[in-house]
Amino acid sequence: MLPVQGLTSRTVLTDRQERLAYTRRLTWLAGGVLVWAGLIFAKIVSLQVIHHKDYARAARQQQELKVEIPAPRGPIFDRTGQPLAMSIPTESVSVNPLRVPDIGIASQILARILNLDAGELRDRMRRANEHHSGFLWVKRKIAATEAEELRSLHLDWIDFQTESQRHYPNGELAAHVLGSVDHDEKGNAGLEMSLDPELRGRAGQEVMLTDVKRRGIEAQLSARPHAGLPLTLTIDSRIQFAAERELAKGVALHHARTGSVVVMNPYNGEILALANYPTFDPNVAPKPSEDPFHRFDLAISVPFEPGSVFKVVTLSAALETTDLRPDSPINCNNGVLRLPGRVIHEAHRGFGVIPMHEVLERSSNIGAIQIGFRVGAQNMYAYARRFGFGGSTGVGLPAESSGLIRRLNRWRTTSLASISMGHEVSTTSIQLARACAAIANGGLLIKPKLILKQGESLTPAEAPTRILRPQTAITMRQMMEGVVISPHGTAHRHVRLAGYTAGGKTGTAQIFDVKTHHYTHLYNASFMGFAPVTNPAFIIVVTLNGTTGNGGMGGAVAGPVFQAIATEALRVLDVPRDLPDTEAEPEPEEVAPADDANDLAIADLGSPEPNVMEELAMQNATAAAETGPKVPNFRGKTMRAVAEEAASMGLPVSLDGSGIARAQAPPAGSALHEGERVRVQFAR
Amino acid sequence: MATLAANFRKDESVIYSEDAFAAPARRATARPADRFRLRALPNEDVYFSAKRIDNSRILKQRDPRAARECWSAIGAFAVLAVLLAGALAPTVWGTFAGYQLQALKQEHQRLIDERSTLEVQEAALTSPVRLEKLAKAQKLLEPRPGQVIHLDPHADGSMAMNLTK
Repeated sequence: MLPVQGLTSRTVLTDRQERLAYTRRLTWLAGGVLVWAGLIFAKIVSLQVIHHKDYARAARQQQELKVEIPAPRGPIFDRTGQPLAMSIPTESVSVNPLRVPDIGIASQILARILNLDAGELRDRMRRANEHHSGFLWVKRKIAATEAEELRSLHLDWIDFQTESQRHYPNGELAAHVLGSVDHDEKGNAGLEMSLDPELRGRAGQEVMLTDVKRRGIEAQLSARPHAGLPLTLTIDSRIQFAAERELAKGVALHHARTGSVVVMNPYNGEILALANYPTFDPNVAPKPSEDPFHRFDLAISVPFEPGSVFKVVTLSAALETTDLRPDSPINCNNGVLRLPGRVIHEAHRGFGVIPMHEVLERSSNIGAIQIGFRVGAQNMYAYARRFGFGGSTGVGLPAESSGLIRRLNRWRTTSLASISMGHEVSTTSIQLARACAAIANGGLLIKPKLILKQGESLTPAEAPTRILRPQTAITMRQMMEGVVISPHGTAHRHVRLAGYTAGGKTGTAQIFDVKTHHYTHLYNASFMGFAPVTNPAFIIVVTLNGTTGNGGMGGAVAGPVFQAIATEALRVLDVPRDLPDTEAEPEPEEVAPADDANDLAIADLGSPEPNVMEELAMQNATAAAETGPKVPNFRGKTMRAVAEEAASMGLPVSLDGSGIARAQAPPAGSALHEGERVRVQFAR
Repeated sequence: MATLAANFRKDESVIYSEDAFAAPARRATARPADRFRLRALPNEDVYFSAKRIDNSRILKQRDPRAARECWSAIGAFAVLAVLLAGALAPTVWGTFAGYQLQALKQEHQRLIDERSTLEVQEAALTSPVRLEKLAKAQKLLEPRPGQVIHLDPHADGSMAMNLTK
C-alpha cells in the first residue's frame, strides 16, 4: 500500500504532467486535423479550380452523350398526296482498322454480307491500317437485312452510323421533274437541285445525361432541328404515268430518238405531267460511264425548231393585227412561192386559194407565209415575243433554255417567211405549252407552275398577262378544232377523242445538224392541243425527235400520243363529256395519208448564214465560256464521290491517282469551257 | 499488440515506476530469454468476476413519461423520414421519369422512322407502274372516260351507294 503523503505529491505532479500530456496530445491532434483539412482543401482547390476544366470535361465525356436529332430532307408529293420522294434513315458501316484483329478474315466476313469485293476491301483496310487511320467506311447506306446480319456478329470493331437516304418509290416516274441527290443528299438535278435550300433539313443536337450503362436520363436541346420543307407538286402521278408510258410507246413505234410531253392546266399553269424519253431511275446513282443525256430535261432544256405548230402564232397575230378572218381567202400559189433568193415549195402538194382556217387545217406553208407577210415582220416579232418565245418561262427547273428568236434588226429577207411556218425560231416544249395555254384559256399568258404547296402554304399564282383578245383566242380554238375534225386536217385521223372535242396543231420540222451545218432528213414531230374545245381542261404538247419519212409527221407520230394521254387525263380529271358516244369513232378516210406530209415546214436549205439552232449553239457555247457550267469543289472527296458528282452534272472528268482528291484544274467555281475536262488529282 | 488501455497508460507507467501496475510489463521484459513464457498481457492483474444477481422479484414499473418520450422520438424520426423522403422523392422521380422519357423519345423516333419506311413501301406498292403490271397480269382493261362512277358518302360515312339502303 502506497503512503498517503507520497501519493498526494505524486498526484499533484501527475495532474500537471497529465495536463501537459493532454495539451500535447491535443496539439498534435489539432495539428493533424489541420493538416488533414489543409490536404482536403488543397485537393478541393485542385479539383474545383486548378483542374476544374479537365475534370468537368472528363465527367461530361463520361456522363454526357451528344445525340443528333435527325431532320430529314423534305418529302415530295404529287398533287394527290402520293409520295414521289422521301428520305428514310438507313445505316452505314465503318470499321476501325486499328482494332481489326485479322484484316483478311474481317474483309471476307464483311464482303460476304455486304456483297463487296473481298480483295478490294482487304486492300483498303490494309492501307488504312498502314496509315494508322482509325476510321474507314466499308459501305454506306446498307439494307436493313445486311445491318441486322452484321449486328448479330457482335464484333466490336464494326461501327454503324445512321444516315438519311433518299428514296423515289415510283422509280422513273417524273424523274426529270424530281431530279436526284448525291451521296450527301444534296440535290444535283431537277427540283431537288433548284429547291435544295428548302428541301434540305438541318439536324439538331441534344446533350443527354447518361448513367453508367449509357442509358439516357435527361436530355437538353442544344440545337433545334429544322426538318426540310415538304413539297406538293402540281404533277398528277396518274397522268404523269400515262404520259411517260405513251411517250415511250410512241418513241419505240416510230423509231424516234427522244421525246417529251407536257400536260398543263391552261388556266393556272399547273403542270400535270412533264415526261421525257429517255429517262432514268433517280434511285440509281449516275455511273461515270453513263450517258448524261438521259438525265437532260428535254422539255425544259433542249430547244428545237417547232415547225408548223408555230403557225398558230402566225394566225393569231393575223387575227389580231389584220382584217383576216378564218374564212378570208389565202392564195397558196399552187404550191410554189418565189422569194428573193429562195423558192419555197409546199411539202407535199400545192393548194390554190383556200380559206385561212384551211391553211391551218392543211398546214400549208405557203399559206402561212402569205399570212405572215400580211402580218408583217414587226407584228410577227412582237407576237412571237408576246407568246413568250425567246424568254424563259420561269418554271423553276434548273438549266431552262430560253430558246431563240432573233431581234428584228437581224432578220434576213426570208426570215419572215421562215418564222411564219416555224423555222428560224427555236423553242422548248414548255414554251409551246405556255403558248398553247394562252389560246386555250382565252388569251392570257400564264407562268407554268410546278409547286402547288411548300409546306402547308399554297404557292401564290402570278397574275397572267393578256396577249390576245378573248375573241381571237376563241377563233383560234375553233380553227385548231378544225385540224382535228376537218376531213383534210393534218390530225384528223390521229387525234379524235371518244366523247370529247379536241383542238390542236401538228408540226414537223427538219432537224438541223449543227456539226455538219445541214438540215437532216430527221424530223421533230410535234402536236400541241387541248380538250375539250369549249372549256379546255388541259393542254398537251408532244414532241418526238428523230422521226423519218411520211410516217414521221407530227400528226401521225405525236397525234396518237396526244390522243392516248388526253383520254387518260380526261378520265382521271373526270371531265364531263361534250360529245355523244356515237361520235367517238373517226369518220371514214377522205384524205390520202400522204397529205400529212404537207405538215413539214420547209427549211431554208441553201442559206449560207448561220441557222438559228447553230446560232443558239454558239450562244450557249459563249455563255458556257463566260458563265458556263461551274466546276464544283472536288477537293477532299473520294474518287467515287467525284465521279458521281461529275456524272450527275454532265461534266467530263479525268481522274488521276488514288485516295482523296487533293487538287483539281480548273479550280472550283470557274467555268468549264466546251471540250475541256476537269482534272482531279487524288493522293493519300 | 497493445490494447488501447495499455497505450493510454504508456506514459503513466513511466510516472508510476514504483507502481504495481507496471510490474507485469517489467517482469515480462526482465527475462526475455525464456521464449516459451507467455508474454504478460496488459492489465492481466485485473480480474473480473461475475456476480449473480437475482432480479426476479423486480417488477418493471410503468413509466408514462418515458413512453411518451419514446413515442415522441419515434414520431420525430418518422416525420424526419417523411420529410427526407419528400425532399428526395422529386429527384428520384425525376430520374426515373428521365429514363422513361428517353425511352419514349427513342421509341417515338423509331416509330417515325418505321412510318417513313412503311410509307415508302406503300408508295412503291401503289405505284402506277406496279399497278399497271398487276392489271395487265390479270387482263384488266382501263376504264373509258365516264365509266368510272364516283360514290358520294352517306351521312354516316358509308360509301356503298349502289347497295340497298
